[in-house]
Amino acid sequence: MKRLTALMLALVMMLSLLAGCSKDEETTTAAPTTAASGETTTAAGEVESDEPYGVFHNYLISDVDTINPHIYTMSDSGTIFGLISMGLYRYVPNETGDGFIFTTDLAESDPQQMDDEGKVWQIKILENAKWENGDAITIDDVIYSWQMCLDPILVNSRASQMASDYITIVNAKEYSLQGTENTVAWEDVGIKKVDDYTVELTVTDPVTALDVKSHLNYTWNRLVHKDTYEAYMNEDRSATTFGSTGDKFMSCGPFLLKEWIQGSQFTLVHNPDYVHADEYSLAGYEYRIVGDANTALELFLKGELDVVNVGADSIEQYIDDPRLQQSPASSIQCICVNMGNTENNGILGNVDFRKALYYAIDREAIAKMTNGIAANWTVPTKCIADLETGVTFRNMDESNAYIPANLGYDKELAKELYDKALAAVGLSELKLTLLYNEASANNKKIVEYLDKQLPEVFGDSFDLELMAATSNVCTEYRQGWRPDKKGDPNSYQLTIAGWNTSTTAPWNGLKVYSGTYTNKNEPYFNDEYDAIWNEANLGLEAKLDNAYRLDLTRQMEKITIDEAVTIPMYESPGNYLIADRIVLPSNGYIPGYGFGYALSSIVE
Amino acid sequence: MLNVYTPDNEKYNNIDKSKFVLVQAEKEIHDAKFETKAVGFFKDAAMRFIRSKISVVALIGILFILFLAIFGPGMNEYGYNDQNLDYINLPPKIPVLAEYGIFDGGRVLQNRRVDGLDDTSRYPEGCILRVFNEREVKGVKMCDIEVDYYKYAGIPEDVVFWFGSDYLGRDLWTRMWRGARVSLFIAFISVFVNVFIGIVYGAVAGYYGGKTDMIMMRITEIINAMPQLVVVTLFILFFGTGILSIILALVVQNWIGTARMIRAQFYRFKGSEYVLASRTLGVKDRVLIFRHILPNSIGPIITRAMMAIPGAIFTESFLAYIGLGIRAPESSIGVLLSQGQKVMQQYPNQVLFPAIMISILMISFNMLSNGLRDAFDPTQRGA
Repeated sequence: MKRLTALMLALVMMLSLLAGCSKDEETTTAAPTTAASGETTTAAGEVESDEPYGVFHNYLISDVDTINPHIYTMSDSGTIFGLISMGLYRYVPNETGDGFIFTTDLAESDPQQMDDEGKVWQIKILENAKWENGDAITIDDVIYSWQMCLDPILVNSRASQMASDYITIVNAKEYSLQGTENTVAWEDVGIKKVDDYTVELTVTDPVTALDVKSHLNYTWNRLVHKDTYEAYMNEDRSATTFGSTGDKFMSCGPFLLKEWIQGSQFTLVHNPDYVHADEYSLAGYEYRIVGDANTALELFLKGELDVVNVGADSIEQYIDDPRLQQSPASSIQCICVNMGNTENNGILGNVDFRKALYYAIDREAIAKMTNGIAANWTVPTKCIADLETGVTFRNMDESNAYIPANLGYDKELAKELYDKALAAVGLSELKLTLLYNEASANNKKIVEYLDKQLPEVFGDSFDLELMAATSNVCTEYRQGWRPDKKGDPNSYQLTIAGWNTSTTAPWNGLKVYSGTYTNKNEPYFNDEYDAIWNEANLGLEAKLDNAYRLDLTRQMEKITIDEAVTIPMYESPGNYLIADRIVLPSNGYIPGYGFGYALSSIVE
Repeated sequence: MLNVYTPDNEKYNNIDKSKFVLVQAEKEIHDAKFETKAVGFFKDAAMRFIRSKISVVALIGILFILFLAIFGPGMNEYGYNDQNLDYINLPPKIPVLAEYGIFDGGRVLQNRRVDGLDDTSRYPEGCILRVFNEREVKGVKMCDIEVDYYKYAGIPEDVVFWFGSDYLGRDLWTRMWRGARVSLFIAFISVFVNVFIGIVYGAVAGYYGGKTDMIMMRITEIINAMPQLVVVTLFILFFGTGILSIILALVVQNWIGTARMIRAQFYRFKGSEYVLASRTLGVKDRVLIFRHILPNSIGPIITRAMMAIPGAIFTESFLAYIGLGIRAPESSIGVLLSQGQKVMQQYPNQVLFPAIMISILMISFNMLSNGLRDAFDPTQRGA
């Protein structure tokens, strides 16, 4: 009898569980149906009234720590900030959809050259732009945003890029680096208010209007809301928590930040007051945080995401899918070497050792396991050398003349250089720690591969220790040597990272190895390199003569390879499935711009 | 009514004394001898254990896994860290079973263009086994196909991976049994250390009692109050990831349970007459503890140790799963599960085999410890 009761009880429990399951399923299927039908009804009305319609569902693989444009490090932060803020200029796809053009955002027209040389420029802004709360946007907002970015007490990581990139603003660098010394006044910086809607920029070297527009298109040069920025400033004005949560922010861009649930979701809605609101047909834009690639793929297949990145493990199943779109690799994944590290008799500072590493890596194998492109260069394949012809930098014979053959894989040479380096620093064996991002499947594959491959090339005297950490911790260690961070020269030995560089300006992208770049990964300082960078980016001759500029770019790239400033490994092109209901501004990837999701429209 | 003889009872006075016979005058009076051999503690337990079929099955299961953990990695030509990037993510292929269509190296490839199936540069001749689920997507005819993946990927005929290969072309059979070896090693070592510390600590606290006991028990409470994950993280920060950190993390708190149990056993037996007698005879404390009292706890100790082993394996897997496991390229059940789960949809074999193995191992150890508990302490049967 007891047994029967127990059996009955178990049966009842099973049934109740099953009932629970089916109920869940009903709810999940019911919700989208209702939403979809709701949307369809609205759509019917909206097609006629041309109202924004539909929500684009995108995702991020990790949480965003801040959307403060002056200090962010993750590209996702910049992307989100870009959608909800305004700059003076922006870039949009061109008419044919095969490239992009710079156009006005808050600016009323192109920058006006005020002198003969091209060192003084005035920009007038629109008078009808508004913040989310209805406040009018004036030139004071623009100047305040730039002043805060350069603020010497806040010491923002993006200050150097604001001060000098496509253009170098007079005294901006000196102002931002003076600390508390007060030797350069804000009035001395080449940013002046002309009237309530006009600003004047004075730069050190002659520049073109395109340079000014390119520079002001950068995320860190966009607007921040003064009252909000000030409200979250600490007492000694050395830090602000502006942009660290949704309520510490004020939008003014194509979308408004409606909700930011940390670790979970960003909800953006169409901003009807945005000055170019008519160009955006989406009623909303959502980002969910989905860390797991398989979950993201499942959500896409269920229709809960409109785009998904198909990783190396899944690509085989979707390689023929008509929805698959490809984008070129945004960065070259490299082994960063902390050449300032003093451990192991400072072997990481030894050029021969770094070159040994460079030649020891079988990039073809790495490309195979990551579904990427083997790369032993430092200017990515995507970079365009000539905007008119569309020729890429890598496709030019001159750009490959100095690139080591066989994708830089030469075991004998590597072993020879390794032995030489060990002898030079007086070591008989060497153990190095390779730090990697545990969340990245590719990182994990590569480090396990290197852990076996490098001792095979270098011999038993070499040992690689693998250290997994989260993305944030990796960044902290990678930049820990910098005086503005921990200032510990031994913060790391080897790690894996890549820089997302400009597609149209390969000479500019190489700034990450220059001595003045503030977001550096490796403590590499070389005056000769810096001089070439300055000449290529700021020199008038380079601006007028593209061939000369490309030649300077090659010189820089040659230095990065000859001195093994970083150890490039592979480029990872993106494979994306995009939902049928999304109509992209162009049919596919727009070089230098992306797919343009924010400008897409939705057709059910 | 019962008649009882008493000398002063007149009723019996008349009985002739000569009629009384001494019944056992010539025999020695003694207990009957056992006709069977005496059954000792362990034999008694073993008999009870064998009677439980499920425990025996569990024991066989464990022995089987132990056997493979020891000899499995040597059964084929691959090493646990032999990488071959031409053989990435292959499905399982077992030569004998392949003839029956099981583990024959087949894999379903979805979303293929029907018009591309004739392309022999992509699909070598004879690799397509089945075409199904034909449909039209965006005006393109699509289908799913099942292929002989070894042919499809151009793998030489004589190359087989029994359980498939992973993202670096490593043999999963070798890695799984190597992983089982590592996991079992971690489990046995940590449990052995736990039991050892627990016995000594619990015995001292229980035997001496009083203030000693009070202080020792408060110390265990302090140690026990620290969340285990925090302790593990601290060990890993200090010693780095690896077997040592995991064993230490498993040891640092887990001996407390054993210590408490032993202490309770000592409280139960230390006042017994035989202990008092020994003490009166001048037996030393050490001998009393380990020779006279501790053997009473052998049953619970063995049971407890057996129960702790699956716990340790599970903890190791859990730590590996959250990225605190042993260092690559070493393998463990947790490492394999963690990696396999990431590609569960694409290559289910990578998670299936380790999952089956850990399930068998866990169930077997739990059944075995249940059986042992019943065998050593029948009063707890079914508890």
